[in-house]
Amino acid sequence: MKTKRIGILLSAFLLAAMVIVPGVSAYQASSYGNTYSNLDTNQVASDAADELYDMGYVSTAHTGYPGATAARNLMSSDNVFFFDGHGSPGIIQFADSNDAYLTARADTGYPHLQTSSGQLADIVLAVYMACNTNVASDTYGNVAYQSFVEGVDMSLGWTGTINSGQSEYWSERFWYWLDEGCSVKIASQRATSDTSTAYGGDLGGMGNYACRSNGNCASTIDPARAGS
Amino acid sequence: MKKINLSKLIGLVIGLSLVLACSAAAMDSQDSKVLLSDKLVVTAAKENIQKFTGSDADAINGITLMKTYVGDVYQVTTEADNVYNINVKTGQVETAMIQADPDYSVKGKDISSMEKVAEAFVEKHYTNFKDKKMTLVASKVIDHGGIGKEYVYSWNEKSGNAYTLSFASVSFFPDDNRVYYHGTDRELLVDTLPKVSQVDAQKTGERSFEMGSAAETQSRLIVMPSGDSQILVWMVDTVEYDKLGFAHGGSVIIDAISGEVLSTNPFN
Repeated sequence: MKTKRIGILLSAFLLAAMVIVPGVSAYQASSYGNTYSNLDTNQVASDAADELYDMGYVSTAHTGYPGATAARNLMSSDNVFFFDGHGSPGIIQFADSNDAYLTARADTGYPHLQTSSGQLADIVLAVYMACNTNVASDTYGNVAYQSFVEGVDMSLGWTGTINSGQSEYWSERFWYWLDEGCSVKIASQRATSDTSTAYGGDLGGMGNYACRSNGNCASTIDPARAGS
Repeated sequence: MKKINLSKLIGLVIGLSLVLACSAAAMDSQDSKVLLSDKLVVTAAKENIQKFTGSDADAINGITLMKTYVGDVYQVTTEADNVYNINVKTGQVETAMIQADPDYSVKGKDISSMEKVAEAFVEKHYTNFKDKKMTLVASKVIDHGGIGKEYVYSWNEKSGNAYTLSFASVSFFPDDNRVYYHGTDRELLVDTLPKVSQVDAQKTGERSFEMGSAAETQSRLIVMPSGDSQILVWMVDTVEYDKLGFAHGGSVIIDAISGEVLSTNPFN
């Protein structure tokens, strides 16, 4: 009788746990926000992390003053990577002033994406929401392109400058549409359309997104999964 | 010690977990979803889409009330994977991401030969297009890499040197035969003669971002919404690059009558 009662009690707790915890996931997502002197992108990263959690990822928002070295090390075990901050051709800039730069190409003196072993093959989607992340520099390379070369299934970057107001809105809509089950392609198009609606046609550069992939970026990332 | 009734405990645990789950779901929802049982909104949405497309609206599978900086819109998604944004105040479809008719096929056409097709599309969907002084302000191809190409055409009404709130933009996505439309038609409510000169506005814009001597600055005189009214402003874009290629600067909106800086929007 006592054993039966314990069994019933355990079943109830199990049922409760199933309701409270949507799913136990082995897939990891990292979203990076940054605190710069002229820009704060932490809320955007936190909101993206929340949407990724809803999709079933073990999702972490790295905010404040993240460093490039730790972010690069963690990338090798990420399945989704999101960065919101400053960028230039071949470089993204983290807020840690002593460890700020992550470059596309190796041999730059900074942490870099380029390896000889395709270390980023577990990443299904990397989004580098920063200026010129799809533009090549002779010295530093091209962030979105190099990310794809290292094995990322779908790698998003921007050609030209982007404004922070529009990028914040675009990000909110992009992760929302992905969470609704849209492909990266449809989510990008719809997020751009929504930004145009919200800003009266002024996209602030967000329309110049580009997706680097082997296919056509028509894959979804919900439910949570790894790169193929 | 008082014994706890087992069945009550089980009920309490399950009840508590359901409350927590429901609260979490409610907190996650950032959108204001419209119930499809709200026949008034659904019928109006269908009618407005029908007016826009000229044919029966396909089945609606979701409506969301979106609050934007330029007003509220109903965002309607359909079974055929089309999206329409309907202005809550005017009932007009102002944004649409839809499957293109064969008449608007991009296959085998370049950017210049598509211009007339784009104009025909806008003339069909933007009621007053011919009555307004619309100027073609952009005609370009954007390469989205794996997402394909986009042919973009934009027109804007001009009053003097100012761009008004009436504009139309159409994009064709040749790789998946989709078209994106955005058009707003607004009556001009303000005088479009600025009291602040373009040179002074650009200097103010550069000061806002503490730009250096290498700054490249451009500006446009535009009309913006301001509550139910409108305001004439200078939109100043200023940029300079450091030795690593990082862009410094952004956009500054300056009241073209008072010279006051209304907002700054830095680069990422």
